[in-house]
Amino acid sequence: MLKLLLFLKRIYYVLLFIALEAIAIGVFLHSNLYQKARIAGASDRLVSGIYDKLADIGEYFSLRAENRRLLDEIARLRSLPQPVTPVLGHTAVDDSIPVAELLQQYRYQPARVIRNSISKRENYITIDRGTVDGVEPEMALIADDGIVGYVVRCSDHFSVAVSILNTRDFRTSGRIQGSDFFGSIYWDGLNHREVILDEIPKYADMEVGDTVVTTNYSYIFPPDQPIGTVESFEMVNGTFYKVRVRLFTDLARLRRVYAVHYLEQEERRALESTVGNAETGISDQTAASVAGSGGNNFGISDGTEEGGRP
Amino acid sequence: MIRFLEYTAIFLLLLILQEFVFDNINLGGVVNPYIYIMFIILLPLDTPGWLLLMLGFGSGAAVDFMSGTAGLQTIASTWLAFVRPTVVGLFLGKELIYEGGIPTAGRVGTSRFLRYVTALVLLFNLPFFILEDPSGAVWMIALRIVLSSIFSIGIIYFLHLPLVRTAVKA
Repeated sequence: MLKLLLFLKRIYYVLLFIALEAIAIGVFLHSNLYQKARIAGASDRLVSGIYDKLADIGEYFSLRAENRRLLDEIARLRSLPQPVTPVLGHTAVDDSIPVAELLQQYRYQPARVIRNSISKRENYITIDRGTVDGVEPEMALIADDGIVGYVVRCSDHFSVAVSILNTRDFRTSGRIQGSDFFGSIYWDGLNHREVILDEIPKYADMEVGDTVVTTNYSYIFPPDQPIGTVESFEMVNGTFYKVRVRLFTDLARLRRVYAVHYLEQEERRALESTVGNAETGISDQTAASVAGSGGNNFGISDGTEEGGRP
Repeated sequence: MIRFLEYTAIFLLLLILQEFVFDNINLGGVVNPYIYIMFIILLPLDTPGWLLLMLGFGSGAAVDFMSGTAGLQTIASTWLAFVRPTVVGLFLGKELIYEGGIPTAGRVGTSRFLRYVTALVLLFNLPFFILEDPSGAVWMIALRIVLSSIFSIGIIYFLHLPLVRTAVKA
């Protein structure tokens, strides 16, 4: 009798363990990017609020470096060629629409990083701007010297973004600057300063030190944004190159970013979705398709891009 | 009742430390110490099995919720709670289980305590880091397990020192 009781005691312990573990595994296997971002967002009020305050305090200690950075940025902007102001009368555009609006494709707004991890495999970045400030899902996050992620979920005052250092959910396309060869950018989880540029055609011409930039195939990232430099490359199966790219941005020391809104994202997506093999938008759960690295509609994207810009 | 409040306070403190301090330790992106499991490791030895499992599940779920990892912590922490009685039996001796009280270095001896903590930290980190990146490079996963464990064991040892004095009374 005692043995039976002891046996039951043993069994109930194992059964309870199996039941609890089954719940956990179920949640783990069935979670997708948006659910995870929602979980991260649900603790926003509490956790992000505290991180916001901590970032406030931390800022006082980096004021000198921050000034330096701002001056560098101003110097860089001043040395850019001045934009040509279009003359209204010479174009066939409707005068009632301000020209600047017609020409502007991307809207940048500054944000502060209040939470950021690099040591996990699926890393996220939280910024202190939310829907109230006009930040929306699928906006790009760009630091001074390169892309760092894209927004997946917003609350009123905060947004959670997938970091470029996310092995599962970050994909975009990149190309070697000065050539038309492109491939997909992703992180292999080995080093927080390096990402992979995969599937570069074998006849591509490149050297160590070449710059890798974004393409204009993405719904999210503006074209020609710096990513990093070619660190090394190897031929895979004799068909394409796998390139290790050293990031320009040190994600471990990320403080200031810009949230970038692609103003024609909706229009382009709507147009491309009318064609059979185009990406179908937010309802597609996979982040890969959202980030715009799907290989089959590149030709179409190119067409839109050129057709849309006179 | 006072003991319950004490444990709740310790639990909340560990959650806060985990979220705001240890989650932000980067060290080349390799070290990722999970210190909140100290709560499970240091529960009184006579904690009933069902409570141990529920607390393991609950603490993992709380960290999952804060860091947005969806189930991963819970899988590892429930497993940790499940194996704890066996590890206690193996490393600390069965007689201690009936005595109850918190296992501390002061009570069981530093080397025995460290072996006990090492075993549990490894049992937590092994499934955690493998599940986190099942398709990753084996050497990288091994490196993460080893370095994170060393870090965790050290921190857990130092954080538990204030408890040594109180535990003698308990």
